Amino acid sequence: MSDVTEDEIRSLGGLARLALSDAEVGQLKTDLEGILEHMGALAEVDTEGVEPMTHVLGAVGHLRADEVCESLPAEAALAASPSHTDGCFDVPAILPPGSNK
Amino acid sequence: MSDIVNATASEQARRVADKEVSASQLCEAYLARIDAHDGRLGSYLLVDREGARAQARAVDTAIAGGDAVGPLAGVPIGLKDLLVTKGLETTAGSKILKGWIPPYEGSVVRKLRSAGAVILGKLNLDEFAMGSSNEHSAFGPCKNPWDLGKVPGGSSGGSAAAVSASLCAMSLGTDTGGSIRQPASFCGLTGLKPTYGRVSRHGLIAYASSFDQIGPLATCAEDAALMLEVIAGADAQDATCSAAPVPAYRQACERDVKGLVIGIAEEMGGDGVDASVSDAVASAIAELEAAGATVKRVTLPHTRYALPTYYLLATAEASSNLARFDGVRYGMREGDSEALQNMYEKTRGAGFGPEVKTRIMLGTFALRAGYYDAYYKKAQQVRTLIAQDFRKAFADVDVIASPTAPTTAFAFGAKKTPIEMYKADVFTLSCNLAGLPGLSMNCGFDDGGMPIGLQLLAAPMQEETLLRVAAEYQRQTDWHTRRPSFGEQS
Repeated sequence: MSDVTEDEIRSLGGLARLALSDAEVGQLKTDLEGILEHMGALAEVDTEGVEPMTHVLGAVGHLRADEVCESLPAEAALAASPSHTDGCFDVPAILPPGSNK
Repeated sequence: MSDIVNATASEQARRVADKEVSASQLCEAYLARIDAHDGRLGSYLLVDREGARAQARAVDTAIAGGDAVGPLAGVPIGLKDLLVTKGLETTAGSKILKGWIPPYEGSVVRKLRSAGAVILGKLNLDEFAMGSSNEHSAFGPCKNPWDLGKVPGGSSGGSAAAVSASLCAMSLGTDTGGSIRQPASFCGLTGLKPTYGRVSRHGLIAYASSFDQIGPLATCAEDAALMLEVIAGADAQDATCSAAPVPAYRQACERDVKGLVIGIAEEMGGDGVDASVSDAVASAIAELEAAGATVKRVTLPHTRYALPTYYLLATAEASSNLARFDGVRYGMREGDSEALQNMYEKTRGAGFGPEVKTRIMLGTFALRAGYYDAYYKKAQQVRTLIAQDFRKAFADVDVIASPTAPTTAFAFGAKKTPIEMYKADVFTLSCNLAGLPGLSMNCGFDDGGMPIGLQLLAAPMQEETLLRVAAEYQRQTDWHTRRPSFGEQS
């Protein structure tokens, strides 16, 4: 249950959008295996018919009235971005430069 | 001026309101202490000298003009750097947010400012609140003022160390699995984690949204009550924030404990707890019995599953919450010349520290298709059982007392693996899993002179009961008045 391969770590890193060095992959494998071994204890709990918790105190959200109110000016929202142009966030191309597909 | 920094925050507020001391004098006294001592301690990531002076002058002007001022008027406060402050750099202790100047003010910060608080600066923490020792701060660890070779606890380590060393009168921390209570224990303070939803989380950079709460670290229960009165209450910007009226918490501190029932759970102690900690906790409970409380045994049978349950659920939430740090809207960016996905991966790979990566990976693992039922759903079911244990126990008792942590503060580098570190939270996690309020207060010292924490838990929204017990204990004993000699010799 607690064996994790380095390939799985790399695949998880992709899902989590984390670039990982080989050294990090090795360390994460060791650490996750150690942690998951402890997580395995949950398997021994009888949870037959137990509702998974959805809200800790069973409360519903408190919604405010649906009224237009002041919001953050676009300039302020953009100010901290690494790059922005004409009121938009800049991002690199989704396909790598030179790709023609 | 030196005595004023040793007064409680409540006493400082009174002296400022009575014009015995000006807010500016008080502010300067703390700024001078920070300048003299924080180089060795590392509790502040940012000191907002000009902002603090301006706020103090505004308080002095209002008082001189006979205007009404708020309950925290002139009181110097430090904020965990996980709380968003408009125009003031907010980093979450992470390289990925270094240099971020938020365009908005978090709700608690807004409430503090309108109550007249003087905000001195932003305090050190484990990166994104993930840690129990402050060793995971990207900007270097904060130290424990009782012993600079030891950790202050975490993740609100800077918030605890700064109050303990009198570098602010009170502070705000956040508690997701013990991050207020454990550092309060390690630094000899009173720390209160409110009921889930008691305090708005708007402007709190999210780690695990179904657990996170903001709360005070203070030198006594009365100060924690004063702070909670200011920060608690409904907020249109947090839909999980309760609309229940805010009680007069300071009045609760005036009541004795006659007739209260203190629960002791076998599962919240025993093996792995240092003898000095067990002994001090037992003495504290005896002290409360002598003051008129009664003691009753309760059982919390699922306590041993709190650690795996917490670390699965909190990391699952973290993996989702931290997806927003992608190099687009704020923070650093790497790999700008490459394709979008590479930019995301390189930015996050370079910006997050090792513990944050470990938790994101664990959370991603737990939520992955094919593993969801075995891990995430199972943990949510066990979370239900843990909450039920507490509901049953609180049918019979008013509070549950235990050690806050199994040990006193440990040395830097002492915890070699993530699991060893996670076990430092073994008694604090279940409170967050069940959404309960919890308090830690100093109840003595070990042989090495390090503070020991007593944890008290209560049913949801029963902060008054916690504060009442803590205040009575602090009338009967003087542990909470002890201060580290740190800073006095140099």
